[in-house]
Amino acid sequence: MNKKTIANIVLSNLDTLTEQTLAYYINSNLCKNAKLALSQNNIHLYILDLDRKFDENLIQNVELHQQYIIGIHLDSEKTPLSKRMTLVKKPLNVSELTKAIDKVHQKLFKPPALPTPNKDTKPKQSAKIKHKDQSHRNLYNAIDEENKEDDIHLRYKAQRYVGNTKDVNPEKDDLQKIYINAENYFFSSLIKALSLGQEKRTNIGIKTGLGTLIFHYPENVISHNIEKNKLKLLKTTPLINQASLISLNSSTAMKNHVIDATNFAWDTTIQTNKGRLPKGTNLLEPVILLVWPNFTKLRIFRHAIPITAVWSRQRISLVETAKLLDIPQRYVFSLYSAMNALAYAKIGKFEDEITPKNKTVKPLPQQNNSTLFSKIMSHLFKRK
Amino acid sequence: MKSNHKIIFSGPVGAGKTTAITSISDIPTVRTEEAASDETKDLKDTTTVALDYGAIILQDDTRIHLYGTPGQKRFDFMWEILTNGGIGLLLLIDGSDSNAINNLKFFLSSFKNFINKTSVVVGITKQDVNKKYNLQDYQEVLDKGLPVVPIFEIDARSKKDVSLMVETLLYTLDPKISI
Repeated sequence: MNKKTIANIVLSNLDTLTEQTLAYYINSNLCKNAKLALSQNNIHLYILDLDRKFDENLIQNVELHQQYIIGIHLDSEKTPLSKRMTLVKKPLNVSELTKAIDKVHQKLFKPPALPTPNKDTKPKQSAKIKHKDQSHRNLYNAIDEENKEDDIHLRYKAQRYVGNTKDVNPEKDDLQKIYINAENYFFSSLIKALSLGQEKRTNIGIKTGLGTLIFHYPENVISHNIEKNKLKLLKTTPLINQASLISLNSSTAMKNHVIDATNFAWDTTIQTNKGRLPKGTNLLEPVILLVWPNFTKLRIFRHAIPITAVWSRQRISLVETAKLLDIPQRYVFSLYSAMNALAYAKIGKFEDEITPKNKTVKPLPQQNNSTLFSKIMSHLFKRK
Repeated sequence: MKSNHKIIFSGPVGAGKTTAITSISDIPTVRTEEAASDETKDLKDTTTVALDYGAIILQDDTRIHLYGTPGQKRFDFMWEILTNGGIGLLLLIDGSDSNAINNLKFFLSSFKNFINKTSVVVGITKQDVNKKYNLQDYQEVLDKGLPVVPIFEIDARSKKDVSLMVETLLYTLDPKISI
């Protein structure tokens, strides 16, 4: 979005925790229409806690400078103190707050009314498809909806999986922000457990600070008794102490929660990595796709199939893949991280491959059917 | 509007070709089934002797024909006729058949020319019924070079699964499809 059309916000009269939380939210990808004001010169909007004492001159100043206020409050009977004030009730709901910011943004940057377009100028209806009736496409939907500014929940859901890391230029940018040290996270131990169990053909216990998970080799499932919130914490935060792996006998009883192990590992890796890559992943060397993930059983997100399709046909780097498909790099990084963890793909040079045959690059067939294919896809996934 | 766009469904007897077509077809599937007479009768009571036909009808009335080839190898002369001008191949393999790996090899080899010109997606069915091999076993059969063939475990009755196969087929032909 053009910087000139971003609303500059000042957080005023808030307690420290609320201020920090709102600053985090405004700086995140969730808040697309506003940023924190860097100076006092160009302020568009104040977020003000009306339940705390505040300088009432602020209201007059806001009116004088044609700025806006979002007043947060507990009182259900509260009325706005100015025509330029929008009220948002506590406890703050991200969706409500975003709506309020978007409303102010619209008032600030709404283009002047244009004459009613005639038939020739009427924009064509987007052929964007809806996938909400496809249960396996939940995540796909979420990310498909990432840019729909009126649906904060879906945008948030998308961010949970692919993160919000901006594209990098491998030759210029500091790459630390796109890397994750896998050894510090639970998914690394989980992948090791799966690998060890398959190698030794035995059940493996994964002992963590929040409880023990068991990989049941014969059934290829994970069982555990860990609460949902704790499990989420385990997946997404660095471990203080490394998880330890123990071999268990084949009669180990299953715990309450039983999940397909491949699915669990796939989800965990995506949720941990959030669009980042294993430390040291080369961005410029080609991706070698070893096998297609079993996408009918795994959670897929937007662009996962086209990205894999590209890798299935040609040797191309992560950065080039994003460029070719014209998509944010984080989608490519997210998919690659999960595929690499489960040994579906790796980075390598042609020389790393074993037979000369493997070096043959089969170009993508020339297609004149793109429009037809788009129509078929839209048809298959349209909402009933 | 008349069109000649078609997607081919193939695979051995009992793999679920008719079911898969039915799950995504917008018209009642035309089945040319007869009472099984040869070794097929051990597998099921009726079988496709010529072809199955279904269609996806797009908003502008364009028809995408869905053709299911007969499963028996003695009808292989039909396969070339049916694939002529096809968009690509969806190959279904019955995962509960102990001969499943050989079937995969056989069908990939039989449709080699068509696959080289277009693309293929493999769906292993009945993995939840009586799985004879893991997905890795099927993957190992494939050439290690490019292109890497997509293999999924699918339920032929599931529109979701069959649609995903079609989606994958189309993306392998053109990853830049915009939707």
